[in-house]
Amino acid sequence: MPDIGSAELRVLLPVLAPLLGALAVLLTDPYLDKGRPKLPLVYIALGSLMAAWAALGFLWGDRVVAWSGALAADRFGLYLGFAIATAAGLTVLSSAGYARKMGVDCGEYYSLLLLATAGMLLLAMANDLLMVFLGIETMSIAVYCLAGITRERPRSVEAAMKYFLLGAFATGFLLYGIALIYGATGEVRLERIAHHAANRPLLLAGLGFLLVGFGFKVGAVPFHMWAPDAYEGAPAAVTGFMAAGVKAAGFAAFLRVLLTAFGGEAAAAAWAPALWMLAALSMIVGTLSALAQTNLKRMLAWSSVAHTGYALVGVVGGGGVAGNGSAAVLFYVLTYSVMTLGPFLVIALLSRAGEEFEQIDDLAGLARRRPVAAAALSLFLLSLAGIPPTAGFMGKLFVFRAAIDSGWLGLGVIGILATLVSVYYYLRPIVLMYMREPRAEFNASEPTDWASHFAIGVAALALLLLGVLPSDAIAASLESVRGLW
Amino acid sequence: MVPSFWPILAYAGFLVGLGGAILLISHLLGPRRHQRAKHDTYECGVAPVGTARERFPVRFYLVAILFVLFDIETVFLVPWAVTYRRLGVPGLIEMFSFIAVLGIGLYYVWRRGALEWD
Repeated sequence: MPDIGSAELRVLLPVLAPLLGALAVLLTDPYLDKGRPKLPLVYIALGSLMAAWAALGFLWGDRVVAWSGALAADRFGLYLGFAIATAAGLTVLSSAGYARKMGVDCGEYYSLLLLATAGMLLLAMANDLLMVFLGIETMSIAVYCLAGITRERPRSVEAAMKYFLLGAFATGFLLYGIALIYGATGEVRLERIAHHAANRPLLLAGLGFLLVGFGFKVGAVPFHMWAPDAYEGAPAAVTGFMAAGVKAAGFAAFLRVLLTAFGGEAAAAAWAPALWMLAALSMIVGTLSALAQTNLKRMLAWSSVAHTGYALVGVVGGGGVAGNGSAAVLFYVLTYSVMTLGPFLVIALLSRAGEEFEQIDDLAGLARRRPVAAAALSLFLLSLAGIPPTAGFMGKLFVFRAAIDSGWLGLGVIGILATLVSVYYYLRPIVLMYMREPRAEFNASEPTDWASHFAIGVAALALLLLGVLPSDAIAASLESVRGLW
Repeated sequence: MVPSFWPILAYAGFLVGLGGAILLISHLLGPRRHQRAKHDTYECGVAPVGTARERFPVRFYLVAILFVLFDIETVFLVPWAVTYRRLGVPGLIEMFSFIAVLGIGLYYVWRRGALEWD
């Protein structure tokens, strides 16, 4: 039995905060009046997420390894931890109104959201393969339930079912990979696996299974088939959380495993070609499929597949820890999680009772009726397209630059071409919003949802800040990766 | 690494051979008498009523889940009871926080009325 010192508890704080919040939500919920807005739950959820934020900030600094090396609070994990906690906080803010409209204003919704966040934060700090597995499962099971939480909508149930079945299958791959790696090395700790020669067939087979499992979680082609249906069917606020949080946490674990356990030259030579293919396919398939979509959520799902490809460009072109690629991925995932959450916050705001606002054609003339929402959505879409001065531009620049600098010219060219094509489908909604006559349908008679507006404002401001003054965030990402080695 | 595994391989081969032999022999020698009772779902059991594709009240499902939950609790509690002295105070704290989480879940289920049958 290891001693439980203060380091153990300190490292756990960011995970404990949302976990205790989830329990508090479940204890409070039965005492609230049915039929009235359940604001106390929102306050508890926000409070525990702020506590998680504070804990992350408190840990920011030197690397602390605890629980016999199972958890590591280093800048790498904390960097993405901030992105995850922020995404969760914005989701809760926008859910206050949205959950009521969708009839899911219940304790389960907020507690599942917080449990998923706890799993994501655990995943971001996981330093051995078993913790990685535990974090992924805690996160995924909560998110499967969230995807199907609007039980009356058949498409939501379908999304949850598809996500769950394929997700369980992918988890099997991941676990099998962990078992093979353990069989080959006798280790689950990441930095100890790195000491073993990487040319053993058993170890390489394990690495291959891990790539499949992680590829599924971050939605890389050819493991992306669940994404469009799950993103389209899940309620908008949940979809945003899935796209931002799950992806950030998935990339955190993916990168940490690759760089710490398989960062040596021989091992990197084994996974780089495989990831090259994943990155190229994700960018091409994601971009081309997004072109044909008429449903906004589905379009954003394909765009998120393409963005997984862009982030993977940085992983391949990382040049190990010495190169800038890994830092570029961190910065990219940070900006991506904000700019993909944004459109879903707007969709959640515009949705009416029991009915999602999701057809691209419905956006026609939105700028007349809801100028603020239209402006924010335009900003998010411009950032996703990678147009300066938004954060999306800085992220793409950093990733492609790192890839080309370390000699992966082909991947950089594919990425830039895919970005050019993607401008078409990101600009089409903007054209519709500003240059078409509004339809009679949306007359904004409901009371203004201030919390949702605030969340959208924060996301928009963050994108502009990261786009105009990115140097602090980039410097932090560079520092974070140094500590990983 | 390879030589140490050959007994396992031999054992696996023996098992497959034995299983195959039993199936083959019973297939060749076994008598076959087809009667009505032979084709029932439970040849020696209760006569089935209706088909198996029926709707169950969802409450059974809830009871099953709660049963599994507290079964797992026992799985953790028994080893803890055995090594109680060696684990000391940290073990006590860990177990109690585990029980507390389960207890909160039970309380929640109870308050939501899931424990009432009607």
